[in-house]
Amino acid sequence: MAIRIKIPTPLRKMTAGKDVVEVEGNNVGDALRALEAQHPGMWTKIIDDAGKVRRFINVYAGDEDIRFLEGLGTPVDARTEISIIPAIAGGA
Amino acid sequence: MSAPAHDPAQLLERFGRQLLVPGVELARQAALASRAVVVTLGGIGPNGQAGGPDALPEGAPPIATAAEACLRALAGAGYGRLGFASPLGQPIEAPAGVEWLKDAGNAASLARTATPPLAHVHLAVRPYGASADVLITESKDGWEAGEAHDATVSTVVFDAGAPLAAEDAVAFGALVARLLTEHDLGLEALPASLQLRWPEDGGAPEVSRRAPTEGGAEVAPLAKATLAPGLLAELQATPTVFGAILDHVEREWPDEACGFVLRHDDGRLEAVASRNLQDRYHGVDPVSSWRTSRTAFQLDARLLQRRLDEGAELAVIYHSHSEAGAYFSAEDARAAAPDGEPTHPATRHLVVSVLGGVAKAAAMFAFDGEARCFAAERGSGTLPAGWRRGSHGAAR
Repeated sequence: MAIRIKIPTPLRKMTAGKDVVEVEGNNVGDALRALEAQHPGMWTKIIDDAGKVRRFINVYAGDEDIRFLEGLGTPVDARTEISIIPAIAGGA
Repeated sequence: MSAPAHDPAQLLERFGRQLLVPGVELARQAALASRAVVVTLGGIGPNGQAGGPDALPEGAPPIATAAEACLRALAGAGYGRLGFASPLGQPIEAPAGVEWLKDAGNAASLARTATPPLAHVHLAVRPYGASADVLITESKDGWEAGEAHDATVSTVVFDAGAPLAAEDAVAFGALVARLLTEHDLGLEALPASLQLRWPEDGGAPEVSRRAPTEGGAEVAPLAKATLAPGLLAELQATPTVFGAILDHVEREWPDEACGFVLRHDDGRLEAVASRNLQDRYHGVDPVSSWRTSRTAFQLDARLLQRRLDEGAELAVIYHSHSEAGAYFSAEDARAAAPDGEPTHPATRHLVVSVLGGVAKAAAMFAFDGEARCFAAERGSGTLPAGWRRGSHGAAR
């Protein structure tokens, strides 16, 4: 069952320019590991050394950031699009 | 209330008891006398959005008690100018020497008291307990609104695992005052984040400190604005767009506001206000997202993506600094270019300084690919005094 992962512009140099990559997986973590298998180096762009989503990266399952769901364990199916979006953030 | 039983006496003993005792002598008392501290209150709304005058939950009375304890401790420590603003009306009796500012909307009064805005303490109710955001402007001699003094930001998280209990509020307020006075408003000494968390069994709190994160691109000093005048001038020449941004950031004060400006095919600019999602991120992970919306922003990236999918170009990302200057902070640079490379190289960044609820200065930044740093457009700085009453006011 193919899951669509949307790739943001700054990371497309690692996917040969593709803006969508299709992978197999039952949850977000599996899908991202499958993405890594297809395009080595992607995992560490998204996930930090502690195994959490990097500070200025947001990963969405559908319309919700997985930090508000079950993190990398968030279940996905063919109807769920995963989006990787750089955070737009900052502070004084 | 099912809050763990925090022994106020134990907390005060450890963190701030002596500040509640009249006549306490502090070594640096004299140095504090000319400084201004403004204390404000906030909460968190039912959907986790930023707190504001309409978003105070039932836990507000304890946070007012915390503010009173904080102000009493600061007054006892010899602070010369203390101001207190609250969206609750006047929920406490202000201690002697504290200027009552009526409410957070009394912008003129607060701006007067808070210039120089050397310290702004924002106490807020959170799902886990309470937080205090402390923002200290790095100027000892006062400053003009358009100047770009950096600020030191600290957040103290009081993680009780439950809403702030009345019996803990006094201890929390005193603790915050203690942190300020102990460090003599120390600009570098304050921890970036201090978290007190109580174990399930109700034992002593664990205290963890978190230093500011390193990384991100460099930022050139605002005084050396190198970029030719451009988007800031164009925005200011489009009062409906620039006015909408200023209205938005003033409305959200004392929280930071954020949004973006699209350029459509016909060249037309459109300002789009976003929610500031920072408190939502802080709520699920107050350790990683240690800042609250008082001193940070997180734009609704899905909203931006939807609007960009319609075909417009992202011209500007804007956000405000509350009680701080219109500078591009280290945190702004880290977020805009986490690995030193800008995420949106063609997009400019507008920062608006909001003092006492009034937009005072604006600066436009872009990544200078040759100098490898963020730099400001010339013309960035204080907003012309008559700008709002003139061009913008007439356009409303």
